[in-house]
Amino acid sequence: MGVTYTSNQAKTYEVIQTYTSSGSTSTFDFTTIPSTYTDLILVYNGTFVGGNNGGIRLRFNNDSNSNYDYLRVYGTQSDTKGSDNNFSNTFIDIAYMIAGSVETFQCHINSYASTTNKKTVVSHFASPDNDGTMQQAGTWQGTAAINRITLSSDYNHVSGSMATLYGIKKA
Amino acid sequence: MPLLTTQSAKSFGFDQLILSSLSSGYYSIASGIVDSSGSTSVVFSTIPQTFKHLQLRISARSDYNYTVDDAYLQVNGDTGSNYGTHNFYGASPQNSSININQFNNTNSFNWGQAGGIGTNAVGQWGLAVIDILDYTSTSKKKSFRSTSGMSTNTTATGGLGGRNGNSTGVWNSTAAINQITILSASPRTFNQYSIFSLYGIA
Repeated sequence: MGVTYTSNQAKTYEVIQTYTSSGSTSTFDFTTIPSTYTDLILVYNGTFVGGNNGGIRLRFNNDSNSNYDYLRVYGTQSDTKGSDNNFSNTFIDIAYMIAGSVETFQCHINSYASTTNKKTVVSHFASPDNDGTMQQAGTWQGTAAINRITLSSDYNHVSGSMATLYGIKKA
Repeated sequence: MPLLTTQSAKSFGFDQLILSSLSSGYYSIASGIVDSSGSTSVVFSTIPQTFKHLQLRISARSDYNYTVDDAYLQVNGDTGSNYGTHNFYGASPQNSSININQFNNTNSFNWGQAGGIGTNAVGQWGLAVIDILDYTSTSKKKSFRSTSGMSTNTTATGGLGGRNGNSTGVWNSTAAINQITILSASPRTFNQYSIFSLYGIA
């Protein structure tokens, strides 16, 4: 029975890249992500320019094939609550957007640099204006190290909407 | 910036840690990676008392022949009936509603039931993030918060879908936490390459 332990007290949780919308973009594309961290955290806070019932789609390594699965639990202001899933999708539906409402999500991607594991994602989405919240577990069936994360959406984000990718390095 | 040693052992202590005053921020403390023989536990001992909060980040899998597996947490070696757990999770498609559970006076915090441990059966890895707040307090009972999940389209005992949810836990003691033990669900073991990382927030 064994565990290999390592200790290294060092500051971590570093910004890899931040995108701030000028009002004319619907995609945040994090390219050439270094493989030097252990986990990634992706944070979004913003608002759509227009259109209702839009989504934000998460993809890895520009893979647009049917390699994504996700399972969600959610609750809304109308007291609707439950869970659902979607298998073999072409993206992970990470957030729902309504024009003018503030939306935020945080997405954990652990062991993203593994070249043997399928990648697991857990995210939290909240829309205070819409009084909705959702937690999601997703899988990308790819085993390649993640070097690109793309957030694409149906509508442009208002100026100042922001997405930031952080890296965390284990001891 | 200080630091320490690397060792292979069943648990790791921080006796050799040279502490200095820390600036605000998020720090790695230690990590444990399960080797080819598997392990039923991962132990972080002699945890430095210099941070405000702790966070565990986990990517793990067990040898269970099921969709997902449970996993547990104990502190300071306390195996008594001093823990409580509340959780909610989705387990589609078996159940499109939300599952809610409560466990009182148990011998560990059950953070794995809401997802977070993948299995051999589906070949995927669970993800969990566990926060332990104000762990050095000697006047407060200690609270745990876990968010975790794993989703799969692979057919296994337990069906498709995995689990995804949140857990809160309590340790009914006011002692400062100086050791954390993560346990697999007996008699299973954590698989090789399962990673358990401990961080401190200063």
